[in-house]
Formats: sequence, structure tokens, C-alpha cells
Amino acid sequence: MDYKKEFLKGIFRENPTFVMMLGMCPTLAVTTSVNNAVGMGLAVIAVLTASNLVVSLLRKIIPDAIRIPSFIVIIATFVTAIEMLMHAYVPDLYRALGIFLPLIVVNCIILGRAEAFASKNRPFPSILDALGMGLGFTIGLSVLATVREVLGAGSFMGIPLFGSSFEPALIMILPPGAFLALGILLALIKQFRISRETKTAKEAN
Amino acid sequence: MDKNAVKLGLFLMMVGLLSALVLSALNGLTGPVIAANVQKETDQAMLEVYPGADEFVSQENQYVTDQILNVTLAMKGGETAGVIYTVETVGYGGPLTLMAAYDTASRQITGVRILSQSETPGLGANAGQLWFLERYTGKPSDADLLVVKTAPATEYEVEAITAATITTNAVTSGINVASAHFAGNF
Repeated sequence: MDYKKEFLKGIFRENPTFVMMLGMCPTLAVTTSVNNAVGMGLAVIAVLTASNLVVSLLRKIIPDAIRIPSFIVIIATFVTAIEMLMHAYVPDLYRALGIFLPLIVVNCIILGRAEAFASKNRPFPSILDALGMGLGFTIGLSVLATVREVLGAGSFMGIPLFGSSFEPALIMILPPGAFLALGILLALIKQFRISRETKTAKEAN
Repeated sequence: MDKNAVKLGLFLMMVGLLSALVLSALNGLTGPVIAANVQKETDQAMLEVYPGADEFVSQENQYVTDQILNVTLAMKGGETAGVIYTVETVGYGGPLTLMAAYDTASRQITGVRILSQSETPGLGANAGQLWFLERYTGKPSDADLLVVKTAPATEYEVEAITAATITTNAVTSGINVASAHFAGNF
């Protein structure tokens, strides 16, 4: 098994946000600022790694017919556990991420990776898969949030970029801005891939 | 009955039981720490909304209504110098709890803090930030405050957060409940 490939596929070739289009609900909701995007991404990496590890360890014990409900219970348990631990021991981080944690339960990337990868692979590759996918999700969110925050609020990670005369395009941090920015980014990425494919095809000829 | 179905049901029950066991153990472990954290945050918030007080005396269940969760007196040298209200109101994303303090001498708001909220990140959630909350500092308590979308013309007006008028209305209505109670009782 190619470990490097298992890790890198989540970042580029199978990026959950831009290629697989998984977890669109949190993607559109929390990308109003870069801080939020990074926070959500980190929370997803933590839950995804834990759930992939446990699902992989239990993959031979869980009967096939009821694997989905079992996965959901495992994921929900981790989300609740992480929420309680953070609230108790890192209250500052909890205050910043508090509202995103319950959202992770409905993030289909977690269930998607449990079903598509962890339930069929050994623990170590499952962890790599989780880290790569989580990182890919974080990068996807951050790129989208950067576009929206810079255009919609005139700042990056809360730091104002332009003078006070700059009038931010507020629509970019409102819900329609999420769709506009995501649509344009997806189109650019698709165009990039198409032109690269035609180029390699021409060179092959 | 299908024997297999019973087996699968029992397995799922085991998964659920195990998960409940883990979570209840964790809750027992983290519960007291969380309660202590919340208490510490409340104390900190009280000092912020009424700076300079040397003692806070909670009035426990006295004055408590649907919206007013707690009334605490801020003491200075043994005398009541201010009154701190903990008020619950409804924002855009759900319940919103805030703390507002009044000075008994000047009859003005000395400070406002948001204790818990579930407003939209980047929009309504900005209500928790100081640049917004300071818009209430020094406002009078003898009449309701009004939310406006332009720069305030009178001292009874508060400028709304752009694109988060519902949140601003919620915060203001919570403060108005506290103001009315303060004007009538202290």
C-alpha cells in the first residue's frame, strides 16, 4: 500500500470540498471568516481521525447489515466527547469552536470516509486517509473563506487589509456570497484541470 | 422471528450502551470542571460590566422572571453601587444570554456582555465583540432604546450591526427588559 498516496489524495485528487463536493453544508455556512474556517477544519480533523481509527479497528466485528447506524453512533460519541473535553480543559478554544462542534455530526465527510475507506482498510492507512481528507477539507474551507473575508469584510483572519475608505462587498459574507465564491472557485479549478489534461494529451501525441 | 434480526438488534444495543457508558463516565469527569469554568467566566463578566466593585451579592431567586435569570448587586465599600442583570432573549439563531449593568447613581448602563449565543458566525456573532457592546455603555435606563440603521441621533438610539439587525434587536430588547426593571425597582 502506498502510504504517501493515501495521505495526499485527500488534499488534491480527491479533495472533499473541490472535487468530491462532500460536506457542502458546513462549507457554505462557516466560511465567512478565515478563523472560522481553520477552526472548523481542525475540529473535523480531530473527529475524522478518531472515528476512522475506531471504525477501522472494529471493521471485522461490526456486522455489515448495521454498519451505518454503528458508524453514526461512533461518530456522535466522539463529537460529544470532544465537545465535553474541550469545554472542560480548553475553554478558550471551546468558545471559538463551540458552535461548529455539533455541526460535525452532520458532516458527511466523516461518514463518507468511514464507509468508503476505514471500514475496508487497516488502522494505519485509515489514519493517513483521515489526516489527508481533513487537511484537504481545511484547505478548501480556508481558500473559500479567504476570498469571502477579503472581499466581504476587507480583512484576513480579522486583520483589516485596506484603509477605512474601503467599502466591503457585504454580499460575500452573506449566504449568496458563499454560492458565488464557491461556484467561481469550482469553475477555475475545473478549467485548470481541463487545460492540463489537453496539454498532456497533446504532448502524448 | 428472524434469529439474525435479534442478533443485529442486540449488537446495536451493545454499541449504544457502550457509547452511553463512555459518555457518562466522561461527563462525570468533565462536569465539575465545566461548572467551575462557567462560574469563573460569570465572575469575570461581572467585573467587566461593573468595574471597580469590590463585592457581588447575588439576589438568588428574587426578581427572577421568564427573561430575567438573575439580579446581582455590585457593592462598593458595603453600599450598593450598581445592579447587574442576567437576561435571556431570543436572537436569530436561538437563545441569547447577556449581562447588563447599571449604576445606581448615574442611572446609566455601565457595560454589556454576551454570555452565550448561537448567532451566525461573521455576522450576528459580532454582537459579542466589544466595538458593538460599547455602543450601549453610558446609555440612559429611563426609557427603551431604539435600534437604528444609521448613526444614532439621540442618546436613546443604538446603531445596528450591518446585516445583523435581528441580533441587534434581540440584544436591545433584552437590555430594555433589564432597564425597565432597574428603573422600577432600584
